[in-house]
Amino acid sequence: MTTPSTPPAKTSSLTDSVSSAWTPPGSSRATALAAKASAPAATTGLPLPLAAMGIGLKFQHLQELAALESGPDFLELHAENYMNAGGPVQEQLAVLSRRYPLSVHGVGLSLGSAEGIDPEHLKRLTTLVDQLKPALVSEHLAWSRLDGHSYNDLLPVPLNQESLRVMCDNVARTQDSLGRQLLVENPSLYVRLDQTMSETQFLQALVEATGCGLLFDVNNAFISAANLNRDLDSYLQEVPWHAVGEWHLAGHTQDGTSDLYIDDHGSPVADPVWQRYRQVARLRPELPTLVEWDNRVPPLSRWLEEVALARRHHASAQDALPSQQARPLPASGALP
Amino acid sequence: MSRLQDWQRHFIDAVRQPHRPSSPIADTPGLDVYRNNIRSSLIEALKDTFPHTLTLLGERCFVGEASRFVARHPPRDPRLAHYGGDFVTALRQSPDVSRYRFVADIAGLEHARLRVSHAADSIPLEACELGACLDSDSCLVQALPASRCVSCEHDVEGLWQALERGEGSAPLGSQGPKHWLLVRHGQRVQMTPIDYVTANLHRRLDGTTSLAQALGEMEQELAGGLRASDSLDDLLGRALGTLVGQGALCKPAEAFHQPVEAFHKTAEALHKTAAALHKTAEALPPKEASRNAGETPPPV
Repeated sequence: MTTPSTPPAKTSSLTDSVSSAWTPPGSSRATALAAKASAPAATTGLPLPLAAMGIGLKFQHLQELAALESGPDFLELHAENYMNAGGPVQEQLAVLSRRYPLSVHGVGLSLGSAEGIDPEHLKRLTTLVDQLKPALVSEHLAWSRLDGHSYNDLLPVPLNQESLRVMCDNVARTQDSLGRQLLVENPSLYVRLDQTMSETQFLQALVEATGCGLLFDVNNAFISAANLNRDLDSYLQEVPWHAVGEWHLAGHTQDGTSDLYIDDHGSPVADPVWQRYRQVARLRPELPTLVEWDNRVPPLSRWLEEVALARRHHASAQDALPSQQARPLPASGALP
Repeated sequence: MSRLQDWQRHFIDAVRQPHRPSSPIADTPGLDVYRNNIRSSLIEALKDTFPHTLTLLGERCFVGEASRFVARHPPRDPRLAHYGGDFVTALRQSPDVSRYRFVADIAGLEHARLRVSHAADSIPLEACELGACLDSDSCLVQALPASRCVSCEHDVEGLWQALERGEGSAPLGSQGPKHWLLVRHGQRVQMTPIDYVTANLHRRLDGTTSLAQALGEMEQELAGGLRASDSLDDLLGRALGTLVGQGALCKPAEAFHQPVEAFHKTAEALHKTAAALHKTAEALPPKEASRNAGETPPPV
């Protein structure tokens, strides 16, 4: 596969919408998938505006969001919360889908499971995506399923050739079912595992083999670097930025006993994460940004203040001149 | 087993059973994070599903019961709204809440309400459709997906209403065990007390049994235990009328017709009661006739 070397910022290649924009790998399966993904039926939901700023969709905000005059640019929903057969929540979601572009973010598909993904759950995800026709669909570099049980967390994947094959199979199967590209999110990590590949090597290989995209969670990158003593600057040098399709931002806490940073999504975005966001957002300024807040969810007005802050950081990142950056990052995954 | 699957099994073992000396996964503070994430997120999910149970037991007791349940019953479905059906049984069997068995009744109602809230939409069977259905040996009728019967061991009607009003508690009623029918109408779930016959008929109508067959089976089951004052026709007619009146029945999405021969015996047995059932269907009791335990917004 050839690696696109898209210029990082303010280029004429920016499109009107970033939904499902995707350069597939050269395999026949991936080419067929690309054809399916470009079919109108897969992307007839509301498109994302450039540099869209979104928030998570929470049950307590459903009615307020429907009535809001000036809301966020898009809403991201946790897929498993809306896999209902019917009822008022699904009706409210249908109403919101006509007002806001949507992003479907799965948390339970378990792409890293050695036993494979649950076909019934994949069917449910496919049904939801077919119904909503969201601008983006994403999942995680993680696993949670074992022996028929679903452990409710994003568990770490040891990165080696075997787990890469498993991830590739599961991602390919998911994309085949969805008929469109999946974004895979980088994890927040708390334990160091025996592995033969770096996370960026693993993600690059996954992208090349499946044509999937990446969801780059800035907070996760910060947390993993801090918890595993990873050099974040070096890590950021190696991320295949051309494949990234969305930014995630969230709050974290630091455990007083272990000093570990915890990805709890329960507080405002921390300053070091804003700093890294400014650093990477200028590489792909057209991409949508989601401000997550899943625990201790604030009133909608407070959340939208955080979105406004994200807009200011995004704008300041674009205003910064390259010469002001101590160490510019590459846009294509290749070292400068 | 692949090496990755083997490793994942060791990882889960280490998360679920900390401090095992033989575990190949080191028990680091990082592992505690995953352990705590799984445990706390599932307990929070149970709190969301069972808010009245939480009120009755209090935070400490609820978390104790929930912790034991979470440790023994990891979810089989990644949809958290589907987690906790067995929590009702666990509460019924827990020695720590043996003096408060009515709490399990409240939990059962809460879980049923959640499932009804998110069940598939469908069109309730109209009374005018019932006559034709009763004349057909192959007419399939099923319980509305957004309906459920719950059997309570105690009379918790007053307590439930108090909890819905945000009050902490209320005395139990004196009527003993009760059956409840929960049906979603639009944005709300209606809860109605029903008798055993109605609950039994609702449970039988699963979309694979014709209405005639279900009534025939119930007729045989009830025949031996009738009191002198009971009329079989009246009991079945009232049960059917209640279910239709409450909008708790519908036709299967893809109704199929089974061979008439299979239901020949049933049809014959039903012949006597058909006239009475027709009468009942024509004069269905108004919805107000059944006491309403209070409409509640579906939990989300």
